[in-house]
Amino acid sequence: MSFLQWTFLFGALAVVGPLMAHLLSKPRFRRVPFTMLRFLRSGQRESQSRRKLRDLLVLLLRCAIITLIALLFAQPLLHVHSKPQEQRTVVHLALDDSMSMAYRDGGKSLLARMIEAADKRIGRAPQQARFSIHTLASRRHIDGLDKRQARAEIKRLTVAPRSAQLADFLSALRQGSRQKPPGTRVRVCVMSDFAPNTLRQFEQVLRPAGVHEWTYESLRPEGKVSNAAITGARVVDASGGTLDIDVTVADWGDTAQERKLTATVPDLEPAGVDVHLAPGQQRVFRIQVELQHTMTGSHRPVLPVELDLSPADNLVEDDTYRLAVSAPAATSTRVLLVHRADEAFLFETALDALARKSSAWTPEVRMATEDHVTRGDLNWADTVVFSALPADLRYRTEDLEKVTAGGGRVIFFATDVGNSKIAERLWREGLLPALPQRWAQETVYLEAQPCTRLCPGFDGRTARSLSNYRPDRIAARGCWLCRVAPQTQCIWRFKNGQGFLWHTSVGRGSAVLVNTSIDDSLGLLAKSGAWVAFCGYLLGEDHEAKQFCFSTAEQPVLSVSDSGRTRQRLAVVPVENCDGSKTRARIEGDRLFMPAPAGLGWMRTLGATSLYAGINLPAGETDMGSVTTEQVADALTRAFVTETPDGAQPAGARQAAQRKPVWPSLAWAIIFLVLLESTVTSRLKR
Amino acid sequence: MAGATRDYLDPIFLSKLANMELVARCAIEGFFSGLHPSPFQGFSVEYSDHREYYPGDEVKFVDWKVFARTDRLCIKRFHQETNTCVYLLLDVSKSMAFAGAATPGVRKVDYASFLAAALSYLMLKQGDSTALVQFAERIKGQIPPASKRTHLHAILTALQRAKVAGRTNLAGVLHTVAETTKRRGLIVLISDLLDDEGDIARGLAHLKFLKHDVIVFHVLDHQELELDYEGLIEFEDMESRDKLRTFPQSIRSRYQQRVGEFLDHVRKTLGKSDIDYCLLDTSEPLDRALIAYLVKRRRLM
Repeated sequence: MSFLQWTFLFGALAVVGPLMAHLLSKPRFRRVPFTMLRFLRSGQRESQSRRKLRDLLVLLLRCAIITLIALLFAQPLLHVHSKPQEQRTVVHLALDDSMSMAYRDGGKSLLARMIEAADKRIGRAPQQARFSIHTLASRRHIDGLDKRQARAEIKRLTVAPRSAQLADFLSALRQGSRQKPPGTRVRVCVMSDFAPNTLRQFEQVLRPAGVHEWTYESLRPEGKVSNAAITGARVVDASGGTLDIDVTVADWGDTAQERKLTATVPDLEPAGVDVHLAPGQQRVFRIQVELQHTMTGSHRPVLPVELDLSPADNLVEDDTYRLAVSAPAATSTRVLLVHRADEAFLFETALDALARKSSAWTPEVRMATEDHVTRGDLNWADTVVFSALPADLRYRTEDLEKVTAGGGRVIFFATDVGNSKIAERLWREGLLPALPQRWAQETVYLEAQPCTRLCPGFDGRTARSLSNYRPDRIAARGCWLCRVAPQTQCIWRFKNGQGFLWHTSVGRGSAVLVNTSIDDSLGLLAKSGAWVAFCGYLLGEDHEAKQFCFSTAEQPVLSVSDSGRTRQRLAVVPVENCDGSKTRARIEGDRLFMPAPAGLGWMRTLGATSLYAGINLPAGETDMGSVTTEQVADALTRAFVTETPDGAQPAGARQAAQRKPVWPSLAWAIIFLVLLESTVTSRLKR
Repeated sequence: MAGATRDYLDPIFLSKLANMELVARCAIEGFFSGLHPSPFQGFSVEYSDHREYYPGDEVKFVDWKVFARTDRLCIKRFHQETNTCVYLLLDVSKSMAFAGAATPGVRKVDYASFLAAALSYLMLKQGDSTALVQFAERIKGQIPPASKRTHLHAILTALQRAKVAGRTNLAGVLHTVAETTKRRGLIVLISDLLDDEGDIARGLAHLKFLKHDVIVFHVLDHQELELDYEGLIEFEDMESRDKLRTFPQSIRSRYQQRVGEFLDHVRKTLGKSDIDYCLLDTSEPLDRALIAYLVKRRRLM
């Protein structure tokens, strides 16, 4: 026995109190004259001896109560040592149900062989053994099974389209070991094909789990492995009339592969290339899909492209790869640059650089001074850029509203307030997102990147690429303190909290105020390397093909703005999962968060124009590369220990020396003794 | 007996009366006013008065002369006249000074004195010679027998001045009384009998041997009978000064059993000697004692 708070044992010295009281106290007798003492004496002898006995009993009870209370506060722990023959056995079966186990060898899959082996192992276990079944890919943990239940449970195993995850199993093993009763013997058996992906996880275990016994069963194909897989695909170009996709195909097996790679897109002619691979070789094949004329130009549908290797090999699940492609729109943006002097030169240069960079996006630029802007110019433009807030309006504000009503954008640079009345009028009519009021002369820095996640029309990827130019190192000489309309959104800030980029939606388009000058008179942004990227971001440049393909371990996130014409407005949209089940996805800003994939296949939104997400196997999951027995044994040695050093004590051994708290028994004993003491005391008085 | 008249026999009430004569009169008048008809008159030759005849009265007591004159049947009544000599032996030892919680202020000796006074009053009124002997370990005071009405005053004064002292030596006193009384009579012993039972029996047997009629009034307090105490008590004997510490509640049943055995033994012993025995609880009225005396007195007639 040991004590957590042994100092409380000194409290037992309090028994001196009742002892002294017993020895020193004199009962207070009331003196009464009486006559018939001879009749009293006969009963007195018996009463006297009984009273002394009760006194002693009460004294002992009180001492016992004090001692037990001291013991209770000291929190004693009873050391429980269970005998070896009383040990129970818990067998943890770690079963690999990852996709690589679907490999068929001689008509029987590795999973089926694993189930047979597990069944035999359960049969050989002691009769009283309990079983815990852990599936590595589907991550299910079932404890406390007897033999019959364990056999029934493993019969239900199916392949999960995921990779094996060892961390969950080890965590469940440690937790189970902690909760087992003392004297329990823990055995672990790992059954897997020990594909490189799985083996790597065993090798990377930092803290091994303590067990009494561990073993493994390696389920490898018996003959030569014949397995090729599409491990990835990347859209190279979709700006022209073709969709160019680079497809990575790997030969994970031991035999050379002669296959045909086919790309299938609904309503389009399939395209294919021949695949020749040596054992262990991995190559990239380019496949070109001819797009229809209607799929180019301004219409940007999301194309579900299914890549397929034929004929089938011993593992067919990795022969198919799905990716959804958002082809860029071949557009020409007409930009009207309104300036007072020649301060828009740097902006014009940036537009020229952007036009050279992309073949799909061609900006047409028309420049006009503030005094010479006509209604015709405004009607022509998709985007109007004001190098400063207008000092004079020679056109009606309705003409500007027409630009935004058609989905265009009006951009103001805040060089000065210009004509405050006109600025206020634009602000009131919603064409100016914020009204500059006072110039704050201080050195300010930008945030690292804009917060465009919640702002449609500003591409998040472009914002991330913009951050590569480190705009947070660019200083401005000051900033305008603005009055902001309620509907205005700040999508980029200075580090001092003031807004740098204000945005408001007007009609189908938007209006933007940039809290700096277009010619860099207020800062160094226009002369920095970030300027071109910033102008592209400002104009909403988005001209690259995008692809949406995810693994089963990921949560698919689509870009709503990329769907272009779909313009999802709902916060929740109905979607179809891979298994055909209907569910819902939520929209936050320009992102569409799909639910977790239910297997391999397509996930798509339900509506007039669908967004697609291709769900594929995790990379390298079906790599059937050869693994030696020594490698497996060595890897497992890193994951389990059977010795009992510090920190790696076997679970059972730890439990055998477990300390059992005895305070509940002490508490009940105290309650009982208190009741007994009060009873004896009351009888003493009688 | 009516409740109102019974109050006059209540020892607590009597203890509040300062005059012993008043005590005696209260007790006796209160006692007889509740009796109907009075059976204790008519044994005398001295005329007392007349009363109306009731069916059941003996015809020999009808006064025919009165009937001849008034045409009403009347009974002629007489004062009782006897030559009985009554010795009242009153225990005034220290143990008689005990007063329990049930009768605060009424000691056993007070109760015994009330009884002796009432009996003296009654006896002298009936013409009996009455003597009073007060004793403890020996005879401490003695009033010789006489039947004069004025003798009552002497007895009552002696009772009022009685002081408790000394230990009980009942057997010796009884022998002394037996040896010193020249005339046979009625011995009325009022005591708590806290002496050896055998000695007491022998002393009383001595009196019986001398042809005395004996009646014993055993006066005990309610607490002495029940031991109705609580808590830690140190009992001190009133005569021997012995002390005993105990929890009364733990020995009560045993004590009551022993007292019961003692009283049974006394009752049987006296019964064998043809001695009347009356146990008196000081918390009870005096009527039981008076009835016992009158029954005894009537048997003597």
